[in-house]
Amino acid sequence: MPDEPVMQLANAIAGYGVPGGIQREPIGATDRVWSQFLALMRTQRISGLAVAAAGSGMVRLRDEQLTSLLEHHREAMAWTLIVEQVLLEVAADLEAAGVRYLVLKGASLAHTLYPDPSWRAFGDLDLLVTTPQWRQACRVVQRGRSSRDLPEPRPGFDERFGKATVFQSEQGVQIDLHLRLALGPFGLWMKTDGLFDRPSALDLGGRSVPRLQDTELLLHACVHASLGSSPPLLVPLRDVLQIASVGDVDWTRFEALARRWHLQVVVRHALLAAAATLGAVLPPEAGASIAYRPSAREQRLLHAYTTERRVRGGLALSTLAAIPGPRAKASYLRALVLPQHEFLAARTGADGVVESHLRRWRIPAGWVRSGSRSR
Amino acid sequence: MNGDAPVRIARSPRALWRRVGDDAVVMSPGDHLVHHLSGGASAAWAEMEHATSVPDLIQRLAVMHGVAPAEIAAQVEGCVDTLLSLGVAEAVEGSDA
Repeated sequence: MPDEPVMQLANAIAGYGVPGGIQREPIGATDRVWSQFLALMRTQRISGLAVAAAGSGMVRLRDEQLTSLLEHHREAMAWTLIVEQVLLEVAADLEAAGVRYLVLKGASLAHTLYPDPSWRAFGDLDLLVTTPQWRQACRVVQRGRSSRDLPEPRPGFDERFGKATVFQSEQGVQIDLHLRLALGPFGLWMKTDGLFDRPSALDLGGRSVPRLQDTELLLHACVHASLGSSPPLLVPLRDVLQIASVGDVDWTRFEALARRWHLQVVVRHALLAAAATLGAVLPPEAGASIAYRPSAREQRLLHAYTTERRVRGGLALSTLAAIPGPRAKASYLRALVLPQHEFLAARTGADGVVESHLRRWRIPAGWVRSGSRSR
Repeated sequence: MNGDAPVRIARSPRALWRRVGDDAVVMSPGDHLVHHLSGGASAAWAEMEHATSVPDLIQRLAVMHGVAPAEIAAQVEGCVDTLLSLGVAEAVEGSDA
């Protein structure tokens, strides 16, 4: 965990220029803070915001600090161009095959919601496809590229319970082909196939690429910020503020979607975390979402993502609870504890399959033990 | 089309690019090579957001940098040729709006 002054600098930079942001005194950085910040900046992908903040005078940098920042940023921007080129190639392949898709996050935010696309770096490519076209989409993306990183735990798992499958282009760009926008119960409750009926467009490289409308974009940003990582990453939090502040958000529809997909607790968490971490005032239209009072059950579900329960099987357990019907539950459980050999071999190497099988039994066994203790 | 009008050039809509401080990185359509534009090249790139003739481009850059157009004409023409050959800039038809 970086030192407190490093986090303060990073948070201030991640909140730079957001509408409704607080006015800050100019910040400098000691060599020690700067060195740690550079490492953090790479993982958090905030070089563009740092360059913009330095250009405005909000961050005071010495010449050598500015030089190192620009070197990092040049690398980051060069990579985003490669990701965008891969996006254009994959988009052409999918369209030629008649596969509907939506570009998520990354380029769709950088070019449409930020003052300049260089403010919003990204490292991989995320695409959403419909369930009926999922297998076809996988074949199209895989053609001419390296294969998916992991086989399914069991045949049919992806369509029924999965979030995304990961491919890699020959340039090393990770392509996440999404069926759902989140893992776990919230991912299962979001009915994403309806999102394809009313896409917006992103103009990129002379091509029109379909993307989520701003209202759904904000919902996805909230989901990604709250459920994607714990603690939340800075750029997803910034995305939440950026879309909420400048996006063409239909707040009535936003609240209705959040309610329909049981996401009110997630939305509230994301909005509050974004405002608190980045020091910004939320737009008044977000008031109803913040005023929502989640139930104890909703809080428990959220904690399965945002606390240490996430790595102790809490997410799998809450997913199991959210899956409707005993047969589907049994199928999910079987995939968790008895995945096919190819899946284990890919995760652990052939020698680790037996050990991995054993390890996979420990978590459900732990559920039973902790269940006994809690009674 | 007016045959006497100078050729006008602009950024290719197919080019991918980003600002990096005062510089820029650009990628040619269809390949994965990233080119770094700095100094006069990045200034020329910035001025090519809208279609411009090369003489106009030279004139604007000369004013911007406080030099005589003749002093930078060769470098600007060379830069434009390079951008055209990379495919990140292109000749456009039609006159100024």
